[in-house]
Amino acid sequence: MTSTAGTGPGRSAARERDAHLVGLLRRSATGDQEAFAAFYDAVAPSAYGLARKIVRDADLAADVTQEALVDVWRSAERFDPDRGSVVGWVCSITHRRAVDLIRSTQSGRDREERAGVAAFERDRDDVTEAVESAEDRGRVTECLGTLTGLEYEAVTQAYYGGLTYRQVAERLGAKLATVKSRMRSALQRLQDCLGVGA
Amino acid sequence: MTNGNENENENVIGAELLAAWALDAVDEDERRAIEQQLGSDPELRARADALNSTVARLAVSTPAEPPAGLRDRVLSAVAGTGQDARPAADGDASPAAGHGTTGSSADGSSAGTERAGVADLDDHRARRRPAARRWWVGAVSAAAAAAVAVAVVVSQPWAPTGGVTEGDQLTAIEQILQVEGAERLESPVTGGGEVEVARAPTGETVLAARGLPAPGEGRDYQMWTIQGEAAPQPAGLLEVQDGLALVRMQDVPADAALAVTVEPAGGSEAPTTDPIVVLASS
Repeated sequence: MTSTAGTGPGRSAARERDAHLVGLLRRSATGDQEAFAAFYDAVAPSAYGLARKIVRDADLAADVTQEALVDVWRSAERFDPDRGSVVGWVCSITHRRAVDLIRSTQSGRDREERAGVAAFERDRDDVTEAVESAEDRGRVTECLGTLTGLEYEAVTQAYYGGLTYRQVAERLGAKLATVKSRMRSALQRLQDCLGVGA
Repeated sequence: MTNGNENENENVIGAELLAAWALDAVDEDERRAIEQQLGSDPELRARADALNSTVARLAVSTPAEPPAGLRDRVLSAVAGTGQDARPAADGDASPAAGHGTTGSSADGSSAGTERAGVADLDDHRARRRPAARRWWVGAVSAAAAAAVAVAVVVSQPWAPTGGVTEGDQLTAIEQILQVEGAERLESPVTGGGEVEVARAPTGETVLAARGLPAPGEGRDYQMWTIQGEAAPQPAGLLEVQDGLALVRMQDVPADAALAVTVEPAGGSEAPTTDPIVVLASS
């Protein structure tokens, strides 16, 4: 597994920003609401954007984002910077909340039709203070483009569609083992392409 | 990456499903199994962290401007919400210690924690109606469920360590009852045994069962929360050992009833049988 430190100056800027966010989160963990407000401003676009892509409804996405950020506030003390970036952590909590909502309402069926295909084709127009640079997002799109058809479907239907690998297999008419292995190869390929440091 | 592969056989589940886990594409039981494994396997943990970092890039690649009112909502919710102040002493199966999980605390010391933010949201969404006996009536109404669904965070910190005692149950319940406004409910179970529930206004809830028969071959006990006529929401499996079970839940909506059914192993997305017990505030 690569531990490449990333590509170009964008990465070190990102690391600096992450250090800043860790500081805000640490202060938040002591009950500092002002710090958390600044933290919100930095991470909310990522969290909300992700939630909206998954639940595909602005109001529900706002609810999901609120729940996730309250979770973040509550468990701020537990964030472990050795495990990954702050924004990644916030997004993982948001993703779980969004997926829980989808699975519990079983509305996935209708949504999944759109999710896979639409995953990277919209929602880019209304970004103002995006946490990630446009360049960085372009890179993600580019790397997704290197996946095979099945890898792409497996990753996007699962991650943006909120489906389990079993549901993905069912939808694609593929074997479970195949879907599992495509998810593995897809993430490996993305990791290599993106040069993600662990 | 990495070297050691003597553990490979033990790690089949984790290794095979790790990517799916990183994408949140596994079911609850698988997730629990994997996260338990992560706690005891540093090599797998390192691979998980790397996968999470990759997935994080996908996560942040879709930013959008949040609606104007959201900032105020979040900040006022937070203003009334306490924090889990202790470090995660509960190992890695525990949420929030790493990635991909929400902040449920698996130990028992957060009885005084306020969860006003989430509770407010629940109030905001919920139709307050202590429904009588028609628990499953709304089960088809997915649209209604979408409007009220709140993810209940469940943990059974006692189960993995093997063996729940009645003393554990008592302690857990007492901790909840110390919270102001907490209530205690109990009910006999159809088929034998009894269930006791303690719930705080914060949504923190403990459910203890005694004298439960085994659910039967290929079956599990599954918990549900029910609000009004909305579809019952799955609230995790109830693991019974020697007739005893103990579960801690967070974010249980204040007006939700709790129910338990017997389901095919692994649980169902919607109940397939009538509840063997229902607990609701009077």
